Amino acid sequence: MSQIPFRHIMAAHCESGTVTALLNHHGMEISEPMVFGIASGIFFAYLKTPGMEFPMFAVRSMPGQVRTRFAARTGVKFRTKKYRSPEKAEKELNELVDQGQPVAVQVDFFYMNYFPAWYRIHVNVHFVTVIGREGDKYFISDSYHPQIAEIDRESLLKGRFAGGSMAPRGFMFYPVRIPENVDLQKAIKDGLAGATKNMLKIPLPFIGIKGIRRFADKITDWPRYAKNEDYLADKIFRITIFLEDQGTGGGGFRFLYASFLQEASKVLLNPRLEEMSKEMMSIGDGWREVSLASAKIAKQRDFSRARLMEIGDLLRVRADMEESFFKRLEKELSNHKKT
Amino acid sequence: MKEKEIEVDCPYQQVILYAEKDDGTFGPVQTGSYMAGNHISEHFRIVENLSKDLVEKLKKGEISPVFYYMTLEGLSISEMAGRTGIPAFRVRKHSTPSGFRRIRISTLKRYADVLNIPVANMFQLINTIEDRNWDIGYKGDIDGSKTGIISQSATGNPLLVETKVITNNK
Repeated sequence: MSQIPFRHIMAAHCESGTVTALLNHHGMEISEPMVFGIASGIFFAYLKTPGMEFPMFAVRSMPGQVRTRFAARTGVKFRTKKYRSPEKAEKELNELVDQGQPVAVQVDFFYMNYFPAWYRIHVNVHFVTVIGREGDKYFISDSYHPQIAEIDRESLLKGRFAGGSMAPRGFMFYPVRIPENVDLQKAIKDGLAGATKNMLKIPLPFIGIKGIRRFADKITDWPRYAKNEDYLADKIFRITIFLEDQGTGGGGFRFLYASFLQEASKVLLNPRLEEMSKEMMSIGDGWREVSLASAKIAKQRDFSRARLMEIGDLLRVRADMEESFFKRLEKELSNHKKT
Repeated sequence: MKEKEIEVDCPYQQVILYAEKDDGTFGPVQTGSYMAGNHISEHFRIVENLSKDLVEKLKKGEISPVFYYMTLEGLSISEMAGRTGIPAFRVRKHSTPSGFRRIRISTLKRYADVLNIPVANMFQLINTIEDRNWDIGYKGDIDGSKTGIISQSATGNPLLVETKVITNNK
């Protein structure tokens, strides 16, 4: 068996990119921003529990939710499976691929050795599509790789069965039913409502807009958790990586969400959403300011309270802008329902 | 963000960013990574400093090889515990030199499997030429030498690894 004919495209984010590519393969023409938006992928959380060595933040919903929410809102059905036995997982993957079925699998990014070693980190929630195999190697469509990649059998298996938090346990999925007429208008409205809930309604002080404000308040505490200056510089550089480089489409997913709003305005015939998409693009520019300021501070190694407060102040502006944005989006949705 | 403002020249790490195109529509743009394009040397410097610091501590016996490798791979104690199935309090203990001396070989093998290293590497540091100032011989000899990598492959014995230098003839 060799490669299944598959349109490989790079994408902003691995999960929305994988879902999009699989749906496109099965004849459903849909864009990555639309998948991300319908699934209410936009999010914010700032986390620091006693067990955590260092605080972390997230700018998108929980891994797996892009697929599950998109499926629930469009009627697309995915077959999913987890395994205890690596042998069984490998056998079933091989059978599906040999039958011509591209299959998405969850892996630890660290083992995707078609990327340079310095780029690979242990993250158990990377998604790739297996599109063929030959001897002991597999052909992979990875949203972050410019071309179809090849990986050896052992590395793929290790990646699929890495342990730890959010362990993949051989998880795989592929679409088995795509409705002929998806009610895209309803799906988009549900997606928009989900996003306003994510950002405004979850009653926890570290989620959504409240989470951005908490991040702004707590960034000055970061030197307390750092072992040394290099460690702190690395963590502050990671703000830039998480917002710009680690599969967000730039500006912490806000540019991707702006693209969704622009597409949504056409489907819902709502010019107000087109205006809001431009506003979201400008909010994304603001997040990019946070990225650039963080990179500058990390490079200059000036971790004084005043410099860290610069990041905090930028974050507070983002929180205010997003709060106003999502409140108006909520209002727009209720107006749309009435018309 | 406008398409033209987002471009970064970094062919070896490409990403997709969404930006505003000339016609006012938003869409994907393939470009270089901002971090890799602008700050990769700083990133390498940080990693090198962290690594040197760890090597020194390891040589002095201030940290255990388990701690050394898990830090290099960016794994926390709780993550290491989850991946090995060894309780976190034990991983914490094994991260200290005194705790390491009491580890069973079978437990060490579980760490080594997760860290993707042979058990033998828990007991050795393999040095390669790190910089051109390393005084091993004439600079010309080093520059003129063929690139080689040290390769370690598993054998039938799970605790034995074969280490060899492979010369790159290209």
